[in-house]
Amino acid sequence: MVLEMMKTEIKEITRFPLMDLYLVIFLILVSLWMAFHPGRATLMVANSPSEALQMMSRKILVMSYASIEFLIAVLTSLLVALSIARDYERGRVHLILTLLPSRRWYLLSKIVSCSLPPTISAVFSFLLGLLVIFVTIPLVESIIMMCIVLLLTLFYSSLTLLLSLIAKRLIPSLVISTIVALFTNMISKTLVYFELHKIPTFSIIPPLCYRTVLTVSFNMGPNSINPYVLVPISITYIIALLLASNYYFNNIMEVGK
Amino acid sequence: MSDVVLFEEVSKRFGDVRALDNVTFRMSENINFLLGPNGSGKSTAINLMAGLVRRDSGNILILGRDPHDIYKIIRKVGFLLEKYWFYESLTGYEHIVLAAKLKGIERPEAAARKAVEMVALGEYSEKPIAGYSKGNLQKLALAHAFLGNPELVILDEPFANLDPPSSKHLIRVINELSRGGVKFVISTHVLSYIEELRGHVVMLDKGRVIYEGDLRDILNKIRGLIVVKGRPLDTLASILESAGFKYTILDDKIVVKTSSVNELSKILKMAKDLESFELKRGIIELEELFRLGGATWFSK
Repeated sequence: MVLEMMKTEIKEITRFPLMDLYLVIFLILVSLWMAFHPGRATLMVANSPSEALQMMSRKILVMSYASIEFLIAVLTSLLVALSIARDYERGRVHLILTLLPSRRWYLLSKIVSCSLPPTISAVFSFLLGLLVIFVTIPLVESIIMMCIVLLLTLFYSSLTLLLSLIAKRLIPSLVISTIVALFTNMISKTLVYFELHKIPTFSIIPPLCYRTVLTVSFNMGPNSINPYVLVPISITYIIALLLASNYYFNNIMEVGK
Repeated sequence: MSDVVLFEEVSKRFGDVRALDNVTFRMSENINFLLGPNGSGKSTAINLMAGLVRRDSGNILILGRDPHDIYKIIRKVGFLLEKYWFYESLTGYEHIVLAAKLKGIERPEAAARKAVEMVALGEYSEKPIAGYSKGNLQKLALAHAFLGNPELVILDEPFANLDPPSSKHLIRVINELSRGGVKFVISTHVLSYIEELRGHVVMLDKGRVIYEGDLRDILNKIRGLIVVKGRPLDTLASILESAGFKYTILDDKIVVKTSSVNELSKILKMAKDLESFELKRGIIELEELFRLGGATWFSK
């Protein structure tokens, strides 16, 4: 039942050229990053051509990919906020709630279906990027990164789901979601630049750590945060936000008005 | 006869607006009407029945269950809400199949086909919803309400956006289904559409129940009203006044409550100062009726 709902939601979302836009923006970001970071590349010391290629892929492409985190966050935030607020304003929430046996399934299908397209397009763009520069694929890191991107996307989705439920209306939802996405990313960047990620207590704030993880996991430096700790914490945050959304939807939000 | 819908001292506020004020009524007939002008609280009552809004106080039972447990009997109840929006990338038929699956109906395709036929959506059912007219959207919403042989169908403004033939078709469907034992709660402010139906009426005004009774009685009361248009209006009013008729001025016309139409017509024909006049007898819509102070005519 929920799968049917998700399938329809995804079909509805992808009516718009979301994937195409996403891919174009990603490629522009990668190109810009490569253009403005030649200095970093010159610091690399490689012992063989294959090692040089691998380092290039890790230092340049992977770092470029890490910069797409911002885009995923904003895009997912907007998508969830748009989707929920539009459903509410135009009456689809009302229609669905007279059909679905539980409101929880509506929320779940909404969040997963809104998070999947950005995640899938991120993975797709990454693979395409690798093909473009013909380098050896850092497989393990890539898989970890994909998981982190999915968690990040789900985190932002669940956060903005709650926010858009509170805001109810389309424009406030969009504004709040964008501000939240921008704000959390700004902090994240600041923390990385000031190397605050070295302080372990910051690991309790998952979104702020994603960049750190993306940075250090590929540098394999001594300050690497253990993903085995980060992943369960992230999942806990996502579940907590979803529960809060469900509570808000059921008990506080008056759908009919 | 067991209650289809029961409201006991139900109140609901939206901020400063009191949408329902200590409302008590029961509906147990095959066809039940929730009537009232715009803003009387009908849609709030329907949303309360659907469990989409929480009441501030009181008790509500739908087929013996609290609306917030309605998910346990969701297959038995079909809703047409005032507000709806579909997945526009789907065709009408696909949307109803999806709805049938979400409702957990067995053989969703067959149920969807039946619902589409019931509302006479015709060839449009195979076309994407994005291109639907308002009338076809309303038919599609009605098909969702009739999906899967429900025991109770709750319809909020079912005739909105429907053309006269479609409205007549809907009346026929409602009559047929109700003869087969399906219960209906129909909320509307358009009396002329429901003339051909019979059933129990709960009339709301400003969030209060002002009348409970049979639809025939209401229609008979309204049929006793005659609309008179004439020029000059003040002359017409003074003629009616001197002849001893009870009347109310409404914009450019006067509504007279009388059973002696012939007498009224005769008096107006004899009046020398009247340039022209026109008499109209029939159903006056609720909006006009309430502007005339109709609420007092339906005191409980």
